[in-house]
Amino acid sequence: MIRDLNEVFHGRARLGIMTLLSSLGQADFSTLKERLELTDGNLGAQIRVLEEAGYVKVEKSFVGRKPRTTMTPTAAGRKAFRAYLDRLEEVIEAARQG
Amino acid sequence: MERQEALEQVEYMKRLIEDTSFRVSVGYPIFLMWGVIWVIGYIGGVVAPEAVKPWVWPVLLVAAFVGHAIDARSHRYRVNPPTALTRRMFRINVLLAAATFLLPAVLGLEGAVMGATSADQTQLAFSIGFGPFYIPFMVGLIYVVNGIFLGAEFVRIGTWLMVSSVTATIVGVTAGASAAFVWMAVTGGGSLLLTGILLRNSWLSERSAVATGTA
Repeated sequence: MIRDLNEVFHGRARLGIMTLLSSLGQADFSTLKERLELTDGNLGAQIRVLEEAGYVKVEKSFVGRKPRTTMTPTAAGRKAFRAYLDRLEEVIEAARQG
Repeated sequence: MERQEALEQVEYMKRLIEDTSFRVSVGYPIFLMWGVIWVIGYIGGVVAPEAVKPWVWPVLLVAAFVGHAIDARSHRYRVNPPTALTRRMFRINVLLAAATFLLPAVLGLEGAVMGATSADQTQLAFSIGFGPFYIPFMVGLIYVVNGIFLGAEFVRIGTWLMVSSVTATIVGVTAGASAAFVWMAVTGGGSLLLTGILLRNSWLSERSAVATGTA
């Protein structure tokens, strides 16, 4: 049953990104990097996967002279993540009953 | 095995949410403590016997120091190690705290050195009447700045403390110092207590959500 889970979220890094974005509403690159203890390269690659899937919107801006990258979950991303959580619940519930 | 994998995913998400959201709400005892201190301190400034009044705030500040030490000790094994963000916040807070205490001194010295209205300016800068409203204003400013990193709750209470302090100064000028002290006890102390209670409720519900697996 766990094979049916959305592969985009199943990796630890992308699961962490979506968890934090769902809980915080949005987050910048440095916050995600710090919380998830990922390297710049790894985090950038994981965000790209989520962006290409249409689950995350990436916005680049400047705060003073410093560039700032902010990630926000899209409506499709929230929906897909909720569905992923529902599937996880089902897996746990099935194992509990079985 | 599948269940184990799913449980690990859920556990990981819970830990991330806990690490993020507990940071603010876990500070509720500090808000409650400062709320009580403000109420006692400002009401004490009105009702305490004259001989006791000068000792009210020093005793409360020692109590606050002890309270902070106990609180820090209780979190020793729970808080995350310092990060770039917390180090930056610490530096900003040290600068703001230094500015809080240096500004009156600079104003006083400037008045004394330049000679212009020196007596009044120095009196204003160091007077007992100035501190009770100026320091809460600066505390409010520190909350607002910290709110940029910690969240809207801090910005809200900081703004409220700043507005309370400015209003208290006006109340003090128009209705006398006692009225201003009561105002600060109610608005400043009251809002700190209210924030403490709200954060405590939030902390309890987060704990309960994590314990029952609904977080």
